[in-house]
Formats: sequence, structure tokens, C-alpha cells
Amino acid sequence: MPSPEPTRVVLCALNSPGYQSLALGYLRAYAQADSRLAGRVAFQTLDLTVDLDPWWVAYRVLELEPDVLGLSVVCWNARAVFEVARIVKAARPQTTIVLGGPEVGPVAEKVLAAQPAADVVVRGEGEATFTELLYATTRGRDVTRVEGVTARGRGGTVVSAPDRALIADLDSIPSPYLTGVMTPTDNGAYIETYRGCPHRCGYCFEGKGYGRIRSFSEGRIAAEIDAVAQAPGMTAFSFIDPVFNLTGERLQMLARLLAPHAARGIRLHTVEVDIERIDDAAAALLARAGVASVETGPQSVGEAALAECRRGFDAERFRAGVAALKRRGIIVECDLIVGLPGDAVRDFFDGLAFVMSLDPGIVQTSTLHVLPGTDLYDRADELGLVFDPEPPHEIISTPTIGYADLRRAEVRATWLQKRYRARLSPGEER
Amino acid sequence: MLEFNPIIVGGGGRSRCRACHGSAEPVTYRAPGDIATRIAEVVSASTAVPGPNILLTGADPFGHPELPALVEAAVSAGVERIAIDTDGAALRAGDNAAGSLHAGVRHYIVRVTAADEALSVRVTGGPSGPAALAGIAAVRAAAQRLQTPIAIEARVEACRHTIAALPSTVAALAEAGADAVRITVGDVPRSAETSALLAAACDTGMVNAVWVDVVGDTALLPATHALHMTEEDADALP
Repeated sequence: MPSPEPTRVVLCALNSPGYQSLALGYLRAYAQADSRLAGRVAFQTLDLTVDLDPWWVAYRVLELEPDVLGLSVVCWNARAVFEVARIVKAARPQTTIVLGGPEVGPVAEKVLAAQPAADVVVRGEGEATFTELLYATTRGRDVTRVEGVTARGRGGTVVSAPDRALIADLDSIPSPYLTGVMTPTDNGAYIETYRGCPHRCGYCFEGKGYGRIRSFSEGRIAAEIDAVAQAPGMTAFSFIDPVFNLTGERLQMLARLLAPHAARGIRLHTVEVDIERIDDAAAALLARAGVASVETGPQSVGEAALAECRRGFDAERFRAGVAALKRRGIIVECDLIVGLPGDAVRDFFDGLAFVMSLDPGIVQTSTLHVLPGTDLYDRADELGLVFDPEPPHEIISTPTIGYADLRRAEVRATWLQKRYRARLSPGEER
Repeated sequence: MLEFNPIIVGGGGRSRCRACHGSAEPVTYRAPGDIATRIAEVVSASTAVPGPNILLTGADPFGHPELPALVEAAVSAGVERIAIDTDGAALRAGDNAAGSLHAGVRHYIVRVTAADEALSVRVTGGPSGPAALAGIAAVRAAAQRLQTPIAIEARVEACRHTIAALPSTVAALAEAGADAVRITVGDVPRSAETSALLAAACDTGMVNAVWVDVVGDTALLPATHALHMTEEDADALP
């Protein structure tokens, strides 16, 4: 008797140009390692870019005739992803469309109500839930009973199964790089060494989404670093850890693992750091690790906004951190957000003046996005935040800044950033 | 947030509204050695962070026969940002746009009286406005070709002879490739119409993602547009 055709699963992400989706890599590596699915599921990954026409993305998906389509959704690609889902569902109604990611997980029921093309939302950490979802699908079982899933039940009613516990041992998730699921690309590859965040910033999903901090083992981290750093053509990669200098011991460990690669010219770009904890010793460790550039706050210098967002800010420690990194030749990207609750326009430009006075190398401003699952999203009414309910959920007005002044602040900030960026760099070729 | 030290390369020759300012004075340039010395003095005395930054100003620096040497002197002295205050027309000529970028210029301040050709001829005696727009477009294209980050700011003096065309001037500057426009309010009627035109000029910039700030008699700007007011004209041009 011939074996049944395997379930065709297509995983698709619309990334920033030059990047791959580590999330899809994890999903596929975890599911492929599950012996219950062996021979029953066939995977294809489409790592595409967000600038592609959704109709062309749908064409690529439909060519593969998927039984299950998994789409990774974040705030900045959600509109395009939803359009892809709509087109695919219309062209191939039998495809089960599964959404996952921070844009949909925290508001799964709302998403299914608003997106009739979607069948399932995977909430929270996706690896185990997606694998169990596939197992239930291949066995013809009711997917609404899979923990961590929100799906349409009988009669189309949206049903949410209980939450799934976080994976206790992150090493149980096979590495996408070490299993060959993903091939590291120069400047586009990144490594995750832990999940969770020590901070609880009101605008950020990182801390609330993953709860306590869980780390991969040192052996796993070392193996991934070696695999990525030694990939053909690799000159630079990055880490997606929310705080690269999470602890002094950890920074020492990472510097030790990365130093041999740094010594042969491999560089790390835009790793996120808690800059107020960087002194000369920490800067030396970052340099030893090959860090070429870091990204940091302060996001705001306004006292009211910092309080509302549960962030600390010590101007002198911040200044000292930037100075220590500059002495090591490390470029600092200072980020500011316009539209935080409590900030007036003046606070935002005070922040811009502060970071420019440090001459960090890169100054980046952005507009507040009130993201599902964040504290600001939950408290928006209380704080008087008016934001676009459609992704990317950009702030429309706050009690202290109206719509027009928010747009003015954006345009002026863009101009001031251009003025800062237009400069001769030491050693620049002319 | 960014301090530019003015370096006077000469005087005269600027195209402005003749009815308000009379005819342009004859252009003169300072000796290159004097200018280079001044650059070195400014750099050694500068404590500006970020910096040091200089602005070559006075007469149009593109008319100075030794401009390449002056820019080279600034680069050698360690200047981080070199700005040129120009009428813009010279940026169209020969290799000036790409050449100045190669040399190290990153900031262009382009003086514009009016974008419209007929108005420009009427108030300045020549087509200085369209020439400035063409110059902005040329340096923008060169910067894109060379993938060099630059900042282009247009400086527009609004007077009673040009105020009606202010919004269309901002639109033309945006189309040409300016990043920002600074409007200096000169001798204008103190009227609701003037306020509306100033606001419209700011709004025209906004819808084109070009920042517009207003200096001078900012009281004429409606309170709704207060963010466009710049009280202290720290970067006032000679």
C-alpha cells in the first residue's frame, strides 16, 4: 500500500531586505526533529522581502501547492502578509493558513475576526505549538485543542485553547544553522543566545512576550557562533539578544567565544546594549568580541515619559558609556522615539540635542508604534494614546502632542539626522 | 544642535531682491592663504561636539578661484562637516557638483529668492531661481550617484515682492531635492494673507517631507505652526 502524500507545509516570511527569518528557521528545525512528523510533512521555506508585491509573493506560495501555509507577522509587514493570506485563500481555499508572531499572538481572536483568510493563530513562542498543530493536522484531529492555538472551530466560532508553557530547555530547539535549515548570509545572519528581557519597557513586546530569561547553553552558543562566523564569505553578523551585555560574566563568555573570529576580521554589527552599564572594561570586551557598532536608547530623556514607560535614564552614565565605546572605535547608534506618553515635542528635541552632543556616530529617531501585547497597548485608553488600530499601529496623537505636531517632529527630526549624518569620517575615501 | 563656524571667503555679488536691497555689490574674494589660516585658527579653537564644522560663506565660494585648495585645507585641518553657502547656479556647471562632493563638501546652503523664472527675473534681474533649482538637482543627483550623504538647505528671504510665491517656491525646492528650507521673514505686509502664505509654505514643505523653519518676524506665523518658528537665527548668513 503506497504511503500517503506528505502534508506540504510552506513557511513564508517577508523580511527586511538582506535578512532571513530566524523564527521560521526555528519552527522548521523543531518540527523536522519531531519523529512523529517524519515522512508525514514536507517543508519549504520562502524567505522573501517585504518590498515584494503581495501578488507575486502569493504566486510563489501557490506554485508550491501548500496544505499548510505558515506566515510570520510583525507590525511592519502585517499589511502585506494579510494581503498574501487573502490572495492565497481565494486561489486555494483548502490551504490552512497559520499566522504567528508578535503582531498576531497577543490579539489572536481579534486577528481571526478581522482576517477571514486566516484559519489559525499560533500564540506566543511558536516552535512547540506549531509542531503540535502539524501533528494534529496530519492526524485529522481538532486543532482548536492544541495548546497555544487560536482557531476557527465548528461553525466558524473562534476558539482559543489554553496557553502553552514556555520551552524550559532552549537547547531542545535544534539550531537552524547547525541543522542546515538555514544558511548564514553575510551581514544578514543573527544569533539568539537567550529569550526574555531584564527590562519591562512599556512600548516593547520583548519583556512581556517571553517572561523570565532563559538561555541557550554555552556549548550551543559556541557551536552557533562557529557555524555562522565560519560560513563562506562571512564578514559580519549580529545578535538579536535584547541586551548583549546582560551580565558581566555573560559578556566575558561571549567575548571569549567571539575573539578568535574577531581576530581574523569578523565583525558584529548593531548589537543592542545597556549603555549605562558599559565602562572601559566592558568596552574592551566588546572590542575583543569584534563589535563594530551597538544600538541603544535612550528613547527619551523626558522624566514623565521615562516613568510611564518604566525606563531609567542617567545622563552621566549614558554619556560615559558612549565615550568608553568611542574610545574603542565602536560606533554607537542612539535611538529616540517621538510620541511616548508624557513627552512634549520639546522633550523629544531635548533628547535629540542630548544624543547629538555625544557625537555617537548614528542617531536614529522613530515614531511610537503601540504594539499589541505591550503595556502601552493595554493602557492606551488610560494614557490617552490614540493610535492606528491597523498595523503598524503608529501613534496618531497623545495628550501632550497633537497629530500635526507629531508629523512636524518627524520631518524636523529627519532633517536634523541628515545634517548629522552628512560628514566626513576619519579615513573616508574621497 | 550643529554649530558651523562661518569662514568669510569674500563679499558681494549676491543675487537678492533689488527693490529691497538695491543692486548687488561687486564681488571680491579674500586671499586663499588668509582663508586657510582662518580655517586652521577656527579648527584649533573649536570645542564643538559634533565638529569642528565650517561654513564657507560671504561671496559665493564657487566663484573663488582657489576653492578646491580651500576645501582641501579644511579637510587637512580636520574639519568634520564642510558647508558651502552658494547661489546654486555654479552647481550646474562642469563637474562642480560631483567635484565638491569628492573634495569633501557635505552641506549645501543654497540661497533662493524665487523659484519662478519670471518672478526671479523681475526681482533679481536674472533667472537666479531656476538656476539655483537646477544646481540643487545636480548636487542631489551627484550625491545619489556617489552614495554620499549630504544635507541641502535652501535659504529664502520672503519680502513683499516674493511672499505670494512662497508656497510654490517651497514646492519647487522640494522637487529639486532640497532637504529643508529656511524662510527669513523680511519686509512683508503684516496681514492675515501673509500669515496664511507663511503657513502654506510650511505645510507645502510638510507634505513633501521637507522641513521648513521660519526666522525673523515669526509672530506672523500662526500659533498652530509654532514648531516652525526658530527664535534664534544662530546660522544667520552674512
